[in-house]
Amino acid sequence: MSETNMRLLVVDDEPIVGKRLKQVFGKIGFAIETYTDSVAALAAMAEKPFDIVVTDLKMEGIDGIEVLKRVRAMNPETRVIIITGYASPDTAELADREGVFAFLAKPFRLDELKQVIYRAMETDGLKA
Amino acid sequence: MAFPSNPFSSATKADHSSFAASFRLFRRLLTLNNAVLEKIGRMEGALAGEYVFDRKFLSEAVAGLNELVREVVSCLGSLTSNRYLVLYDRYEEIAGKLSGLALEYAGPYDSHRTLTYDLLNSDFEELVGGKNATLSEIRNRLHLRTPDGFAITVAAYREFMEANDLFARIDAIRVAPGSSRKHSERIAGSLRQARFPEQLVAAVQDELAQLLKRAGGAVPLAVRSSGMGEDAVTRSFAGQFHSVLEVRPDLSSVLDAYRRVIGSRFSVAALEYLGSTTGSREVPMAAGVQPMITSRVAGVTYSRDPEAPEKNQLLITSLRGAAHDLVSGHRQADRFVMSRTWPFPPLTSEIVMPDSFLAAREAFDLLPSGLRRGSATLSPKELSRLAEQALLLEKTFGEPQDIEWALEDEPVILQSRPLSLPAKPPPLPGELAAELAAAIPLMSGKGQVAHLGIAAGRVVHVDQNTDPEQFPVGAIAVARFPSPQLSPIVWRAAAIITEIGGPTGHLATIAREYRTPALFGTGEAVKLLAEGAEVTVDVENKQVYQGIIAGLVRLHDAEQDDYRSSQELRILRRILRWVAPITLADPTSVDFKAENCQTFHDILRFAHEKAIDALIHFHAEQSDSQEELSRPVQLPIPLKLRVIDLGSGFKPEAPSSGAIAMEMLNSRPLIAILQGFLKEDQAAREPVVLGLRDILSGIGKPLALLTGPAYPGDNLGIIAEHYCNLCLRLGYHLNVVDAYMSPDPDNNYIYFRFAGGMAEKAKREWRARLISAILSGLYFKVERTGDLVIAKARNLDVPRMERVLVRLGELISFTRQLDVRMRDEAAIEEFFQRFLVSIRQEQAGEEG
Repeated sequence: MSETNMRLLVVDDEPIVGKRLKQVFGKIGFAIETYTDSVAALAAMAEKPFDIVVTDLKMEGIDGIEVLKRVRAMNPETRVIIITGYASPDTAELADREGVFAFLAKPFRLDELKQVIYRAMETDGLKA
Repeated sequence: MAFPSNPFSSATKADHSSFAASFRLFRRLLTLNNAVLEKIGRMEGALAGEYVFDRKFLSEAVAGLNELVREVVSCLGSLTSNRYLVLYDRYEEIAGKLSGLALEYAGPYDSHRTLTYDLLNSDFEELVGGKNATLSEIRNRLHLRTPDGFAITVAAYREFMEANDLFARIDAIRVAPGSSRKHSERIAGSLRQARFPEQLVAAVQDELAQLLKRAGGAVPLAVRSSGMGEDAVTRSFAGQFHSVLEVRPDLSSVLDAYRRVIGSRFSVAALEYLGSTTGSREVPMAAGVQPMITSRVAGVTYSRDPEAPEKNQLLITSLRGAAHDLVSGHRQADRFVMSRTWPFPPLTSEIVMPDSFLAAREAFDLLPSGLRRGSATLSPKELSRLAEQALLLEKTFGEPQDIEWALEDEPVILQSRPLSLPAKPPPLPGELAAELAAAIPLMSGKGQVAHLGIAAGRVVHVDQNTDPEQFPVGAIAVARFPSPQLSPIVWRAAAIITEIGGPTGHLATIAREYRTPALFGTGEAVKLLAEGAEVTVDVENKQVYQGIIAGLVRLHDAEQDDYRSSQELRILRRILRWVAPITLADPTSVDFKAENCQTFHDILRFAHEKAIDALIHFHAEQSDSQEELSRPVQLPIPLKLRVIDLGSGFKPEAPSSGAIAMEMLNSRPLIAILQGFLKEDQAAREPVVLGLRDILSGIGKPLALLTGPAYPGDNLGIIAEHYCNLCLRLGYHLNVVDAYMSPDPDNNYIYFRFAGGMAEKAKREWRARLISAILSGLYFKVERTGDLVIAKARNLDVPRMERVLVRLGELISFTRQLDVRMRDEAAIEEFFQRFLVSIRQEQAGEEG
């Protein structure tokens, strides 16, 4: 892990997801911010970019695909991971086109997300 | 989960038989069984912390479970001609509860005005407040003593406040000019004039009568505040809410006391503490009504010494008399600082000389030994019992505890709440990484998470015969099999690791109830983790390190409570309570009935047991019609065995009718069992293997197994490539083996039933006991009633399945001799003992 903390943002309209991820990633050295509202999350990203964004797919207002598009437009370096309970092949393909880093179906094992995030950190530009 | 190969894939005569139809239902039932267990596993995994989940997951999981279990019930109905109709009712009731919980409808108790402690646990905090919920958790799940009692709920409180329009009036008072004191006085005036709604009065009256009946008469009562989050916040808040002691056991006194408890929510101190931004509707107040506890000694335990929280010690203070004397701080108390390591040696103690006139004489008397009478309030045994409970409460609630207790003969816990200590920063990621890099892993990546957590301590090997009282509290229990008998050990252990089993078993549920970190199904923990070794277990990462990894332990301590107390976890726990536990543990019990199924797991268990019964009895009931379907097997021993092939049970080149040569059998479990039967022969050619002949020759009584008495009657095997159901009437014994053996250990099981015999009862029982011991050594979970032995093993891989089935064959083959040939009980026992030793040797050899 880098000397300066990796910045991780989580947006999911169900608070429990953020709570759990904060508990886990906070204690292994990530600077983690969690949101239940995608508008507020995007505002935070506009203020200071994040290295990794974990977003829910189905949300009121701005959904996960839209979050992905806007994050990629703001900062192409950011790796976006989409988590969802409804992963249809169509959305997966769409997300893929928009440059999603990974897709995870809920409920997912913590190990799986950790592995994906570690992989994201090892890709260009993010490695410590 | 689907079975890897369908035993009916090839057309056979049996396809058309009713047996095949039953058998197909049975297989379907097993598949459903696995699917449900897998779902429960995921839910328990989510509860344990292995999965990240959300509310959608909860409602989908419940919908899925309801569907699967409905099919289980209807499968059993078809198999048994609807013999257990009441099971449908049980299903409907449980499924209805689950749907309600998942949709967050009001729970079954949410509108109750009063609730007895026996119905509650920590998940009811929102309804009954922190103190009631915590005490009930301690009482009902940890099975420690607490006062009996009932809660007057938040629903009752709201009803009272609304009926008298008090929330609005209080808000109006509080925005008016004036001090907190003035506000509080005016609020108290309003409360005094308020009337209790009739239904509330009736509920309290009813509950009170029952409480006094349980207490055996009109005993004095305590009416205690039980606010929302009262115990969870800082200690400075804890004293603000009121408890009324020595309340007379009549309705009007109890209601008066209740009114005073409600009043304490709006006392000057509480108003100032909560601040002007906290509305009157917030921080609702429940109350608890309990008999006063008379005690010889009372005190407080801090599970960590607040004066030296970094040291491995705890603090107990105590004085003679009742608990409130100590809490109010009026009198000086004895202080005992003790090690937190079992058996909790005392480190220092300060004993106060008794200050009363009455006690003075006693203190200066000399004992017959010539020594002065010890004036300490607590004996060493009592101290260690208190220390043990403190560690258990700390483990359960996930942080150091401040425990109020009273002691007559056994401690009664009056309250347990978080002990606020200066927060220790978690180790920096770099520090921890360096410590872990230097650590020696003893076991890595093995097993399944049964309950998350990190623990450090000494390894103690345990099995179902270990005396729990001898198990050191705070040690790491390591067992081969997650036997339900280990429950009291899980209670005492800092963590438990097993070789067999997974997150859905009974013991895993127990581990979660006691919040004991648990890693199950590791395969070889007993060998890798030596007795007495100090280790650190990190369940989440499936690592066991040599020695104490301080950083990991600190990390665990620093974990936040935010997630643990979330509503979703609470709902999941409530759901699982109607799903996961097994309350019908013993199929031989008279209570093993459909109407007694309390949970989905009970329904599964019941259906499984009755489905096996249906299959086993099929042969007996339909013996005439089965004749033409079955074919004799040619064996080199005098065993008349006929088999029915359900599919791929014979080799493709086998003739299509007539007797079947043993070499033509393709049923792997049957072949293994027959190998055991024939092992005598092999043992002669392979002297290395310790076979029956070796054992028997040592007894000095040669037994000609191959020329023994003919097995009376036909025996039947129902076989497929991976399956065998064998009913053997050997000698005077009836043995049933039902086994499924495939490359996927998840599907594998062996069911073995041993019963009968003509010897006198005591001898038969003794044999059953010996057989039980042998089977326990072979991964079996054994239930024995009299001379009936039922043994089950699950989830073994192919080599283990084969080994166990061969051994089972040997054992069955031997038991048929017992009544006929062997008169010498000592020789029989000798045989069994040596058989047991040889199993252990073989096991050590294989796994070494």
